[in-house]
Amino acid sequence: MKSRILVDFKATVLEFSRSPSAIFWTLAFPVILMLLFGAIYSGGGGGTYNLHVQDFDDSPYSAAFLEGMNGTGLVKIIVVDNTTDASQYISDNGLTSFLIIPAGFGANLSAAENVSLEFRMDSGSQAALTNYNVIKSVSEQMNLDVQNVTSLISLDIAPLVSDQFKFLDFFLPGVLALTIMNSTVNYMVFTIVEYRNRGIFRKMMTTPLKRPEWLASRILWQMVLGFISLLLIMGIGVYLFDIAVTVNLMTLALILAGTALFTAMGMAVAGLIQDEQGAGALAGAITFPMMFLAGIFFPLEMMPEYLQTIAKAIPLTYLADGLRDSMIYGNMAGAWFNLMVVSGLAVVFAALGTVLTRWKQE
Amino acid sequence: MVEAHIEVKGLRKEYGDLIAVDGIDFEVRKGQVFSLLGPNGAGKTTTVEILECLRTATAGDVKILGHDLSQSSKIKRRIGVLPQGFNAFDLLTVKENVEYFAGMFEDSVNTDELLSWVKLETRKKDLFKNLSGGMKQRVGIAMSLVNDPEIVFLDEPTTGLDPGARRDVWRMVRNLRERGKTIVLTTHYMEEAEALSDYVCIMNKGRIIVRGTPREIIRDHGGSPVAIVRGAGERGLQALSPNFPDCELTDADVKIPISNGRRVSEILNTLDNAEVHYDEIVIKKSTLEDVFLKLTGQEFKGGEEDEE
Repeated sequence: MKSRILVDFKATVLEFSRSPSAIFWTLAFPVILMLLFGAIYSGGGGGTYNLHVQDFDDSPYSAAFLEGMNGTGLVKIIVVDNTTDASQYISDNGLTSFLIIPAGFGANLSAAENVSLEFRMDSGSQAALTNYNVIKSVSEQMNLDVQNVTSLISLDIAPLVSDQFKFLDFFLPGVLALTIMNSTVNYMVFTIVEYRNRGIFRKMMTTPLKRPEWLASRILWQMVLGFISLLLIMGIGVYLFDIAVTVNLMTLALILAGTALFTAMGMAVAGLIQDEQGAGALAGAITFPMMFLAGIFFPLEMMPEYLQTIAKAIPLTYLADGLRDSMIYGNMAGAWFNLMVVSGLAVVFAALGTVLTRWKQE
Repeated sequence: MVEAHIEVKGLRKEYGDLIAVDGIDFEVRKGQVFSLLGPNGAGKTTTVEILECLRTATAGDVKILGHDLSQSSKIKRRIGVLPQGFNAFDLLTVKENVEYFAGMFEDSVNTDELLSWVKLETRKKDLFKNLSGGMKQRVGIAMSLVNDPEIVFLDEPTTGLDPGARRDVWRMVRNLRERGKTIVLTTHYMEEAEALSDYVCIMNKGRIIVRGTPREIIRDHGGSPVAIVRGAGERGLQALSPNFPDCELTDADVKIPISNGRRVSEILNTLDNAEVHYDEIVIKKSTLEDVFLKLTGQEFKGGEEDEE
């Protein structure tokens, strides 16, 4: 007996291979995103940022601290004269970050007392973010070297990104989550609306093909696409930008659950709106805000409180977080939690989608 | 008596307050070309879509090849359907499309032979979206035959086609009939039903208003043939009215019903004797269209819109 699922799967692959727009959005778009952001955030020419510093301490400790930062190769220290007014200097030179080492830094450190560094930064700047991470990691290093205790040096600023990770590490799983969402939601919406409006479903219904068989084939194909995206994005991340990524069973499970979730969401959208343009607009209205609010392009911690609350209500957030946990942070407990959320949402949307998409007419 | 392939009794379909099909009965015999004829909104498509197991009936008793409609998977294996406004996958080729639908059935016929039969053997590798309307319809007919069905439903197969493509479809329908298929055709083209059908049901507003072979229907309801003397004008009317009091003038044409033993030769002689000039004489038989007009009092309007 021939499998109808395989017959439909084969047709799906053929249709995909002949649709330039589908290929662009599922395969080329994530590659372009990775290359673009990779080029921007891997630092470009020389890969170092200038870090302007006023050193009011001028002790061996502060000198060692500055030397330590220089040694990372990520920043180039530029010492600013102590008589200069910091605020004036920052605005004159258009700086996005500025470090002030207070007097008594060395003395306090040697006496094992807490010291504070003053770091002014424009939180929207990647250069500032890199500088911040360098300061943070070098100061932690100093703590260990000097006193063998932690948190003597504190930075008067809230941490933005886990310091041992680069932005691209953070970005890669997000692109994967984004691709799964975009490709699946758009594919389902446009296919269902097109098949319905052009009477293709009606023709299918006159054959023994059953709706679950059709759905199974389409979900299967979206999962395959998810894995192809994974390979593409990882290939670029690992070989071009040297991102340390691991793929484990949890990653695969998240891709499967994410595909199921967004397939169901696409079905629900297509069921809600009858005409092609309306469905396309609604698909866009759902995926676009998710893309920006789910912490794909910048960490959620950088967003104001109320946007963070919204982000928590967005399904894509959990897929992106889960993939990040499993691929980058190695946080299996976090990944497990996110997998559960994504799977739960998939069930909810599947129920909604089934109710809303009528395959059989009245 | 030939066995019945389809039996319909008291079929009703309501959408809320709207009654799309209002309790109809009919029977389709094996090997027959059976047509449901009627204007848009008459309930033809609703009726066949219930028979095709695409819609559910509100009430009524239907048997297809001996099966109840509840046994839809058994029915689907033995029927072929060309739906109204048929479309296939744009980005698959002709051959891939037909293979797809062949793949949906446990047993299917050779798709190459099928494509030769619909005269598409040279277009097998063309994408569906690049075909003309007539070719698309032929792909649809090929698709409806992949499982070698006993009954073929053709729902408005020639709507929107040019005359040449329409003739192609007619030829295929006749050929299918010769091969012993039972064919259920819906159409709003009167001449199509007249040319193809063994049996016709004319539907209007959800009911069957008349039924029979096209010949019977016209004989019983269509009235007599009419001779039309084109271009005879006022003079023609004056010359003819003494012998043919029921003749009438429309524009420059004189129309004379030829029944009750009247003969065309009498008309010709009368015209010659009076030396009336005219362009031509045509004999127009009554058509199903006239029957529809007579029975419903409304013009028969076909259109391209789908009926709901």
